[in-house]
Amino acid sequence: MKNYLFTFLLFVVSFLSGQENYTINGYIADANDGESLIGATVFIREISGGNATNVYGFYSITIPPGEYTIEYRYIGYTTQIKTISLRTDQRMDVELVSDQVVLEAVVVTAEPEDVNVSGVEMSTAEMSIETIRKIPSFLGEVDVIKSLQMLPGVSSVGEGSSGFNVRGGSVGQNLVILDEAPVYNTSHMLGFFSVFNPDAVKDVKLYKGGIPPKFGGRIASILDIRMKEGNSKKMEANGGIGSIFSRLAIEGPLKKERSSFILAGRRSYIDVLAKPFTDALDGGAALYFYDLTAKANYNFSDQDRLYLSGYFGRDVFNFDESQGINWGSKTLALRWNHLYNQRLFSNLTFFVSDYDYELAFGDDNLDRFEWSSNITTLNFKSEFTYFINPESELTFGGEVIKYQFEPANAKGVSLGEVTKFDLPNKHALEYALHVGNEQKIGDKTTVLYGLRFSGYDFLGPGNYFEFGDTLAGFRPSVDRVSTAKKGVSIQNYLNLEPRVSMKYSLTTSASVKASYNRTVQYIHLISNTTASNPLDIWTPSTNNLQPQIGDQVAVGLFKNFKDNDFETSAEIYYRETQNQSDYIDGAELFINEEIEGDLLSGIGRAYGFELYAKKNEGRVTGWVSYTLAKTELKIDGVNFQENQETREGKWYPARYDQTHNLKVAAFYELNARTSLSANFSYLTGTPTTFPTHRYEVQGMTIPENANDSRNNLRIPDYHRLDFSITRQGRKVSKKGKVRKNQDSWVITFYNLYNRKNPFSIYFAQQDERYQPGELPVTEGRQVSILGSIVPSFTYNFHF
Amino acid sequence: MKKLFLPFVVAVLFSGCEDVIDPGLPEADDPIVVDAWLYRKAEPQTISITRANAYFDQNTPQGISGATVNVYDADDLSSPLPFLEEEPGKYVWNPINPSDSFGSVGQTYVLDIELNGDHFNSVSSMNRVPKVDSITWRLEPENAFFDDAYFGEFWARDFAGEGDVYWIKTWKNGEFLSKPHEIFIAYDAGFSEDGNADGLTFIQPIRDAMNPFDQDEDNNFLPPYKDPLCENGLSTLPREELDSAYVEINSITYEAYFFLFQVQLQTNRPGGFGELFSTPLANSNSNIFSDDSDQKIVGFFCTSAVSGLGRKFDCDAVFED
Repeated sequence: MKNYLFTFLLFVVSFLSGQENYTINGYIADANDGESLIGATVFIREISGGNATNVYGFYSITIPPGEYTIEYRYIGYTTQIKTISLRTDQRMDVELVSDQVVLEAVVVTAEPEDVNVSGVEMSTAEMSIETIRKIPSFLGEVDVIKSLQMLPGVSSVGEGSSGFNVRGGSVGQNLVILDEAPVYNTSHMLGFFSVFNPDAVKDVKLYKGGIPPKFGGRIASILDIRMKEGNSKKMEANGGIGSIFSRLAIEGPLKKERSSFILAGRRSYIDVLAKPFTDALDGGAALYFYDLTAKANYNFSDQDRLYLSGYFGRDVFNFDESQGINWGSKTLALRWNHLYNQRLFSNLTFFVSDYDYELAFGDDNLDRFEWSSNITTLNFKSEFTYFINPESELTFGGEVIKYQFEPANAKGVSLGEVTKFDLPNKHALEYALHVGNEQKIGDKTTVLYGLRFSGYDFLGPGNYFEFGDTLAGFRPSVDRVSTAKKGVSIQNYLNLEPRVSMKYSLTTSASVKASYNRTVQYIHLISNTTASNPLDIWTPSTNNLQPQIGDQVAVGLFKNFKDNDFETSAEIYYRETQNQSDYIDGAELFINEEIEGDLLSGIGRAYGFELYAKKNEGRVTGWVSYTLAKTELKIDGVNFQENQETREGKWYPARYDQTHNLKVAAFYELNARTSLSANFSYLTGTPTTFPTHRYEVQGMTIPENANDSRNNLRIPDYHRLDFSITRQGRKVSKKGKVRKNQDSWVITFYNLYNRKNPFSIYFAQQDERYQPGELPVTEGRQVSILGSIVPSFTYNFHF
Repeated sequence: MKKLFLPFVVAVLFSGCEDVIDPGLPEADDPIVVDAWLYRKAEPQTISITRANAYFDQNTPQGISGATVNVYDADDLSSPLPFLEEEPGKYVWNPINPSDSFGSVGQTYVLDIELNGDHFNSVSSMNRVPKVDSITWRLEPENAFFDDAYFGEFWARDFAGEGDVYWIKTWKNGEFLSKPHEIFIAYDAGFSEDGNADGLTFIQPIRDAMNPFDQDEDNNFLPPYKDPLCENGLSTLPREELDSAYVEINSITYEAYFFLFQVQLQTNRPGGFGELFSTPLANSNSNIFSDDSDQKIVGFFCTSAVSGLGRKFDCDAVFED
């Protein structure tokens, strides 16, 4: 495989070095603060083509010598037109001016991009941070993940779930990367807020399908979040004071226009505010989260840029000084951009990521229980882009990830007697090589094709198990426990992941796109609870637990109307997955070394139809997105219904299967300083399992589902309306001076019509003391996490 | 307790919104319920066979008559211990001498039920059980959930040898603590196989199994046991007003331990925000199997050896650290 790649490269390089072409390249940045612009268009009129900047703001176009007129465009910025006479390689770094400048009249933006029609990407959703800021949010806190849920194909099972679902995939099937480093738990406070501080985020892109070869490792989606570099021209402070938490971000140059940094932090204080109102928080009890996002970068030369970014965040629930639970992540990434020559751009990343959670209870050192678990990864990634010519771009690279899983470090102290119950660590290595080519063929067709070759080793030191046979759904016995030494490969998996996407232009404003990708996922998020939560366990593939494999096909039609004022698209997708996990009844996932024995394996399928219509211009803007979809699993031992003897499973809906998913987002510019926004969500109720009977054994009343079915009914539908008003502060003070502080006030009403959206339905007996012979009363109960309107008030400032 | 602690606490800190609803339930054929838990005690042992009721039906389940119920010692399959029907659905074994107990430790027992031509079978063993050495009470200082209160704990030590499993039952003032969160099972002296607690004194959270946690109308926790109000080492309360506790350790089989573990998951529902951490509804697997695979059987067969100790909560029962 490696030889093939090298030969191919040599061929390309030698073929092209014979041509007499020259390269225009450079970085495109914001004139105001020096932030590089991702996805900015460089359009060369004479060839009716060009390129877009990559995630670092870099572009490169190689063409024959001549006179050219180049348009540099980016949505929200004024287009710049430059004429050049190309006789030699030229470096053109460009700064674009934002046109979100004060105007008394309605703000006019630059001509909207038609990239949704002309680009070969499909099944992606890109949201600018400006749009994210406008969406009314829970407690007035702008949220990246919640905003993405307003797009087709993206949903969640409701408040309280610490993740999101993409095209019928589970929460653990999304890869979320922050400046290339993976984030294992993307939420604070059980899903109410995401870990991404909007003051530090520059760009958010979600790949739901048509995943390019440079990404891999998860089945359902890739969420690529890029942080700002920090204002390289002057110091800037952004922040907000809200009802639940406050934020402050400071950014500025370390060396003007060469080096900058950004430091953004948030801390919640609801526990401090609530203290006078409840005594549940006396005695050292605390409930808060904080996060710190930091980045620094240095442009050594025209060819070299170095970036260092980090994230540190934590959620804390303490019952008193010595008892409580907490969890959090730390990541650190070091990246180096290097231009090998005018056309070869490379990025090398080295990062470390740690996600851990701990639980402690017991008042003193004589009687105590402490448990912690974590997953640490070390990753090295290299990515090369070779800008061959305006019609063709080659990407290639590789990645190595070293995992260390500590499933449990636990200690119990009883009367001073210490018992340790640590589970041994697990180790794994995941690696991949990828190559891809984006090729324009003629005027109308673009194809992106490539191959990702991925591999995985479950490594020693550690134990591994072989289980006996059993009827599906029952815990098998352990036949053998073996130990592997350090570095020995206990199990190896190798996979080829072909990727192909294509676009065909029907007209200048309409195109049809299709894609196929195979993705493989080697680590699994194990959860047997109703919704994912921070205590869910990441577990590696082993000799028993096989990697998940997904094959997705998508076809879409994209059409823009009225000069890109309206964007519409319709897309259908179908994804089949293998090696999907579910659990035996009564699975023990907490401190269980033989956890694989409690897992059942089967297949899944998800398919759907997504419709999207967006209005970009005018005083009223916004979008409507509707998804009709189904996601189901077929696993022996689960939902076997009448197959009582073989226990062969029948197809059943996944816990996050939501048939209808309708989202409407609307923004209205009332005047130059005031804007209103609203969003409406409607989701079909998620599936759940109901009992049919009850029976008594030794005084215990036990529920029974005599149909042996799973997720056979649905909880009631979810719908919610949010509304917010944003009022910008004056730009010019009453005395006529320009105000240094650009501030705004935001009032938000979440769940405007007060609906108690159900989260789950469970069945239990009433909590009474029953006399012997008296039978308990059993009830069905519907749980809502949020049952009322939540108003909030936030003050944002910007210096 | 430890895995239930988290949902318990979350539920207390945030009372989420919860409404009682009356949904329509799907239909299915009624399973047969066999409750065959036999104890080594000097009293009659009952196996009950009934029809399961629909989930919201609170009526006494209907007994199934006409079954032939026998339990055999696996060493002597020719002499069954007969269980004779005394009331519809209740099949009773009476000891020949009033001081005889059912079964002996170390033996394996086979259950055979013949009903309408079908046979239901199961196997259980009667395992060893340690003595309850003593019961004491301690004063716990105020914390986030309780004011100063007395907590009781029983003292016993697990046998050396991995894999002893137990079910711990408590009676407070003669009343059996039967709420779902009061089902306590132990693996050796801890909660589970990975607990590494073989041969130890039962760990603190298990010793505390004997404490009921009830709430008053304002959702404040009531102290588990009544303060004996000691002065100079003697209680100022009349003897009849003192609380008493009786703790029983029952030995069970590994299958029974797993069954009770599943029952805990299914019946001990935290409610409110705690539902974020709870598992979906699932069946608790029975160890009784029918020849006819279409007939669903629920329930369990287990033979338990028992040891118990009772104590009145008087001033001499208070254990100072």
